[in-house]
Order: sequence, then C-alpha cells, then structure tokens
Amino acid sequence: MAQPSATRAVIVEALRVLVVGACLGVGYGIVAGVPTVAPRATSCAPPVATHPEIGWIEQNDARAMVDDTEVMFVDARSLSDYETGHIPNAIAMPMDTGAIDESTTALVRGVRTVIAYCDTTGECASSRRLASLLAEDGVRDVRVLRGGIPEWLSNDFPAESGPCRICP
Amino acid sequence: MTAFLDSPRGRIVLLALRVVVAGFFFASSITALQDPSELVESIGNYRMLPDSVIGPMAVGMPLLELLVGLALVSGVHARGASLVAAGMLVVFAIAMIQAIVRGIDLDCGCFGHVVETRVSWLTVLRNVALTIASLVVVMGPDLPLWPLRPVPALNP
Repeated sequence: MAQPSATRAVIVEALRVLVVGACLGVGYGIVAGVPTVAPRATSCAPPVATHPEIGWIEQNDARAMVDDTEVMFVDARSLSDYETGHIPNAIAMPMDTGAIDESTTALVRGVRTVIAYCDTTGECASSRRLASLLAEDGVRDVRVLRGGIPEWLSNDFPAESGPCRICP
Repeated sequence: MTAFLDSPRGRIVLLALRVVVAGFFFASSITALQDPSELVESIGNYRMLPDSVIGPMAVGMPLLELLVGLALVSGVHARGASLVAAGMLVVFAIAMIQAIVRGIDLDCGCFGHVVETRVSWLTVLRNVALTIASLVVVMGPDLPLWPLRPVPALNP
C-alpha cells in the first residue's frame, strides 16, 4: 500500500466491485422486484415475526388494563430506568443480558395477559425480545405495548417510581 | 507490518482475516436475500433513510455483500473488495452509533431473525474489529487465488 500505484490499483478494484455489485442489484431488482416499506403507523405486522401469536396492544387498551389484577405489565428496560418511572405494578425484567430465568417467568405464568414495554416509541427490540422469551417459556397471551413508555407518559397515563417490590 | 504480511505466516493471517470477514458478509447476505422484506424493516428501524431509498438498498446491499464475500474467498480483487467491506462496516457502525445515541432500541438486523442481536456498543465494537481486519487485508500483498502457495523470494 506504500506505493501510489498500488493504492490506485486497490481503489480501481474497489470501484469494479461496486460497479458489479450495483449491476447485480439493478438486475435483481428488475427480475425479482424491489420490496416496499410498509407504512409504520398502520402496520399490522406482528411485533415478533417468529411468534405471530404475540400481538401489539394499543395505548388506550393497555391503560384500561392497569387495574386488572389478571394483567401484568413487564418492563424490559434497565433496572435504573425502571426505578426512575414505570407503569404501576409493572415487574422489572431488564433485557440487559437478553435472557430471563424460570423464576422470572414464574411471576407471570398465572396471569391472563402479559404486556411487555420498553423505552422506544417505534420498534423496541427489548420488549419484543422479552415477549418472545416469555412466549417460548409457555406464557400465553403476550402483547407488546405499541409506543412504549414514552407514549404512555406523553398520554399522561399513570406511572410510579421506586424499586420493584415483587421482582425475583 | 507490510513485511510481516508478505511473510508465509503473514499470508496465513491474511487468509484467516479474509475468511472471517467473508464469513460475516456471506452470513449477512444469505439471510437478507432469503427475505428482503425483513431487511427493509431492519433498515427502516434505524430511522436514517427515507423510505424511497430503503427498498433499493435492501436489494443491492446483500448482493454487494455476497460479491465482497466471494472476492475475499477467491482472491479475485480481494483487496478492493476488502476496501469496500471496510467502507460498509464503517457505515453500519455509524448507523448503530446514531441509534444508540438517539436511544433507539432495535435489533441490528445483521443476520435477519436467524440471530437476533440488539444494537449495543458491543455490536459497534465487532464492526470496528472487522473494519480493522478488512484494512489489514487492504494493506497486505495482492495475493493470488490461493495465498498458501509457496511464496516466491522477495529478492531473488
């Protein structure tokens, strides 16, 4: 790489790779078509593609379930975020490690509906991951809160702060 | 550095780096080509690009990754492909960093739903390591198809 000619040769090679790649892309696009972006706001796609049984739950529907003892909210954010503010009676299930243990799952196994949420209004990976793990552990009727905690707070829905009282 | 990469041991290191980078790009491209709509969703989650760009990108990117992988393994234009790989990895890392900084919690979408990896500083670090590996390949000698063949004397 020390000589300018060698540098030039590498750049020419890179350009050739890019041109061939672009040609392949155009060809593939013509033959197979170009996928389109689904409108985000009206998307009905399930939150977890591999678990179509997991559905979204809208903010107002979730709000109506806050006082329902058969419904459990699970918070996928970090413990410190949870302690700063969370949905009343929610259980902290931080996805820092990307895993949950059986004692955690046992807390929600008996309830009718579990609603996972985290801190992003759009595609929140943590809540979808948590919902996926809970479904794999046999928990039925798991939902993901569309809009997460930011939208919940902007709606002026109830929230509380402090440590988790019944977490494992 | 260049002298080491010219040595037989250095060539084995180069081959190993090429295989590692190629493996990453193969895995990424194959999972993406199986379901381009999934890649569209993944790219959209980064919220960096307008929707009109995402579709063509979801088609072109995996093919370019496949081409880069093939070039790295075959040795044909391996250094140029490695430069392209480094550029792509830097772009991916920038996308991840902006997502972390903006507080967007998302899967990196690197290998579709086969391996779901949440974007974090660890995934950024992985991309930086792969970028360095790619740049080492760029700095190395222009190896023929199979770099383990007997090395000709440098000063006959």
